[in-house]
Amino acid sequence: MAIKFFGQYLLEQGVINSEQLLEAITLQEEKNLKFGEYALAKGFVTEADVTRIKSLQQTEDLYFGEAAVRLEILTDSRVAEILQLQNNDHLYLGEALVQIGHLDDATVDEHLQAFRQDQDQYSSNQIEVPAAAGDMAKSAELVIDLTEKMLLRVADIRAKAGAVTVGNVEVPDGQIITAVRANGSLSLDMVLTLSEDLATGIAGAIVGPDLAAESRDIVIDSIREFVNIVSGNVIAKLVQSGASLELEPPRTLTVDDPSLAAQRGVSCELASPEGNGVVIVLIK
Amino acid sequence: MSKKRVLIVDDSIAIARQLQNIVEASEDFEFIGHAGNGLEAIKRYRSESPDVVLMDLVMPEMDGLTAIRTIVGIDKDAKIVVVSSVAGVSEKVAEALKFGAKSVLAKPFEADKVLETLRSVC
Repeated sequence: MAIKFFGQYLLEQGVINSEQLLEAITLQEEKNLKFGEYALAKGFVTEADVTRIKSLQQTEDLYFGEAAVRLEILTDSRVAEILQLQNNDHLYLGEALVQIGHLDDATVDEHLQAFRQDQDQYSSNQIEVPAAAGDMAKSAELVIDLTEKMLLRVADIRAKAGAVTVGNVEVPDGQIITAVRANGSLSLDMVLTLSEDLATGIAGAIVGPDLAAESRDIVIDSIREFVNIVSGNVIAKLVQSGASLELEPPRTLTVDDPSLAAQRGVSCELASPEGNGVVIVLIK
Repeated sequence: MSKKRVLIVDDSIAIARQLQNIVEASEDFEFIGHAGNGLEAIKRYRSESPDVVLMDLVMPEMDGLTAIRTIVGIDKDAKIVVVSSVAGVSEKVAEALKFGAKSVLAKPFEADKVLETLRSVC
């Protein structure tokens, strides 16, 4: 019921245990070298080159390959060639489990097919994000898409995403506003505003039938957790695409919070029979 | 057979309540308490010696990974199951297992999967 990597799926299915998973991940970490390590191991760069490249990376926010090109140690086409070779040599988790002897090829193939079917439900729907969103377009698409999907998964609420716009952030009055930040190879600020009715619907699905007797605090808390679930799954998707991110705990904001003032963002309205909301990804 | 005693660690009261309902509806587990962050989890682990801990990762004050490392330092046989929204990130899962977690569950979760995982580590 969530975005997973293949190892987590195998663990939850009871196909492997946690020790076997850890062994396979450790083998992957040993074999799957980072770009610079790989380029050095294959003789594309020397130790002296690596020192110069790392020195440049300390002053400028560049990937190893970009820094190597800037210093004229590698050309763009050589970087592409190394990336291709590195990709060809990548040891996948299923292969690692076979190499260690925990699974055989046929079992891996069988579960890989089932895993792909399980994860198909999280493949992105076509959401048109305007080009003005720039670097944030992919993240915004994921956030909108997964908010819609998790509303259905967590709360059985079918919400329909409206048109996606880029511009100054406008938060509707009277809504519960929850924000979450992820930092790392990119910075992602996601904001979800929800009408009271929609928020109560989500909280009811999480807490259960006792919600009516609970305080409003638990509704707010449920929405923070919902945002945590959406953002955690967004990050899992982005990490699968090569990003490295750490998630902070979600926060509840007021409409006049300084972090929202004069901000540009990608916004998308959500409409459902239970209420409405807006998904926002801030643009830095 | 006596019920296994479960400590739930999550900064979300809503999720803690959801897990508590799942645990209390089972015949083989008993909910003994809730901690809202890693620091509280360590205190409660020391005072109540639960049989198994359900542990979130992203929490204020002290995160779940630090709490796992500390609890396993206190009791090398501690049975900790991570329940996290970032369980789709292989590095996070690897870190949790290296620090001594026995298993990892992704959020959102299903009740039967929670109980199945608890039984597999107890």
